[in-house]
Amino acid sequence: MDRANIAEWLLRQVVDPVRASEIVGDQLEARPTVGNLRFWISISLLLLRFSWRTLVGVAASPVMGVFLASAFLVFVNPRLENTLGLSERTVVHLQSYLIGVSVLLWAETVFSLVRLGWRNSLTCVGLIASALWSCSFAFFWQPAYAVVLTILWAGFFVFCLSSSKRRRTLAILCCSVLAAWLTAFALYAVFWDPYSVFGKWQAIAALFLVPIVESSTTMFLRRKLIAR
Amino acid sequence: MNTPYSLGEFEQIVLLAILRLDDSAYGVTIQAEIRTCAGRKTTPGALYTTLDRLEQKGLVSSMCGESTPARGGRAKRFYSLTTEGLNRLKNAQSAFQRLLVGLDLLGGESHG
Repeated sequence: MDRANIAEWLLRQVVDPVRASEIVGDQLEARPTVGNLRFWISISLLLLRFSWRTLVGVAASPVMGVFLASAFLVFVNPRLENTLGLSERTVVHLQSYLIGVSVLLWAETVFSLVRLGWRNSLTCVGLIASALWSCSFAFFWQPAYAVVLTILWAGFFVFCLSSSKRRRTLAILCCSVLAAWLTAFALYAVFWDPYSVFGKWQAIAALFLVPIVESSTTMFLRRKLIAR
Repeated sequence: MNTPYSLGEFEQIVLLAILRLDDSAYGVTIQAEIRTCAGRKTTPGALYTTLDRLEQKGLVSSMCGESTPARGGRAKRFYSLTTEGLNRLKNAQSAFQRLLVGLDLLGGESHG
């Protein structure tokens, strides 16, 4: 397999096939006698140029996701247990699941903001969903807020389901978060340590794998469902 | 009222290069034209991302041409301005010309 075919395959991972073929063809025509080193430097710079937003998005999304979700933790109230009559263990598990989903939603929003821009529908839908979800886990135990949040959630779903593009966007958001959630759950199951709630290897693996799975799912589904 | 000017500097350069090249505007020739006329060396990455953006904005259109052995059997992709692209370019250039009226920026040449 010659270098041109390898280069084209690599470029296809970050741009569409026609563009990849065009770029490699232009490189061969413009500099037919260029050495391997300069050729691969040129291709590497092109790969970086087309993928830097994705790389920055994947790196920033888990950090910002944790940060933004944590901002709502100050509103979480231990009276939850008394209000709903749940045991403390149930409350802790429920809150950790809700907070975990909140982190993933915010991470997804940050990734689409960096990769796709703030005007993209995925960013807008993700931002609304993340804010609503975070408010839900922080305030839903207060009846007045619960009513308001229920109305807002209903409005959000009506808004998303009323347009074909927004339905697909919502589907992408849900599938990406679900894929990330399943990955995190699988990592937890694999690295579970009875003497530690969250061991260091889980944390390291989660920090790298979960955002990669989430962002890869987003871009894959976006190519299939929206950017046709 | 004219369409508001919103083209970047490099976008205008690329559009002008495509216009100058007429039917033979593809990656290699666009790059060479910019280097010859504007004295500006462009990186392939900058050129392709700009062409991508212009196509998404509907200012240029593209079509695949013939493949050649020199390109390893890969087709060229020819670009041309759309009507919208031509209008935007004209508006942008008109704006520059209006701003240059009364200025002796280029040493004796009059504009407008």
